[in-house]
Amino acid sequence: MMLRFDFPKTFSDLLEEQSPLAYGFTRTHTPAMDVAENEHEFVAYVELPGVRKEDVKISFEKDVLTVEGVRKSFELPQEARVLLNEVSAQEFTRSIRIPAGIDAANISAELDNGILKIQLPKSQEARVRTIAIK
Amino acid sequence: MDTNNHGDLIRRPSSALAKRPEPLEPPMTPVADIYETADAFVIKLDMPGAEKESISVTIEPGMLAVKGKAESHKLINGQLVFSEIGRRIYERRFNLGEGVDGSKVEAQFENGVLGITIPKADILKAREINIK
Repeated sequence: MMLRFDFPKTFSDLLEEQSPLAYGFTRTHTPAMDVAENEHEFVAYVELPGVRKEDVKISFEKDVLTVEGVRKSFELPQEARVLLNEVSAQEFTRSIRIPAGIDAANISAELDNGILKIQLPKSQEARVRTIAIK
Repeated sequence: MDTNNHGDLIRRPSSALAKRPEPLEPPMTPVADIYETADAFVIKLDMPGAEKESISVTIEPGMLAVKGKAESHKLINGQLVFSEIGRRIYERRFNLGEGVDGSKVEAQFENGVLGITIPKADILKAREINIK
């Protein structure tokens, strides 16, 4: 019996299942995020360089905060010749579960210097309270 | 206007502003786009969160260096419960070929993207020669 080794198929399987390329070059980008907490609120920071605020959508459903949108490419002058292209215009999405009660009606956000800052105030029930002893 | 035929005046023809290998972390190499127009080279670097005052663009013979820091958003009351961004130190250098005018470099920072415009020296500009 002759062993048959199907090169093209093997190669494509590798690409699809094992290669980091299969994950690293997906169309949807996952931006980096920080979350800070203090007694009044959570503050989430998301890296979104080159993104305009009208191209970002923020939602909060149950206890999951989701930031999604698209980075549009800048306008290249007509006669320009590209020498290096590491940045790509692409869609992005990021979600995170916030582990305490949030006053969803009062969530606010601002986009400054390529960092999206989202303030999520804690609900009254979720805040730490000091109980006086009678 | 076609400037491509002047490539041999640049030290490295197809990449006058090629990237250099960077030292190890902690500095982070910001990703960049570079394009060339008839009059200038333009570099755009992603530096989200960088404070404008912390950004420096330095021209040395044959080299352009960019540095910046992003740390102000850490100055909050409370503690980080989830961190991927951390404190960013951005650093990147580009080789500059001959034929650029280092005295007229301009930079602007918008939406976390640093744009640097490096005018070409006259020697690199395409010229039309009038026939007498």
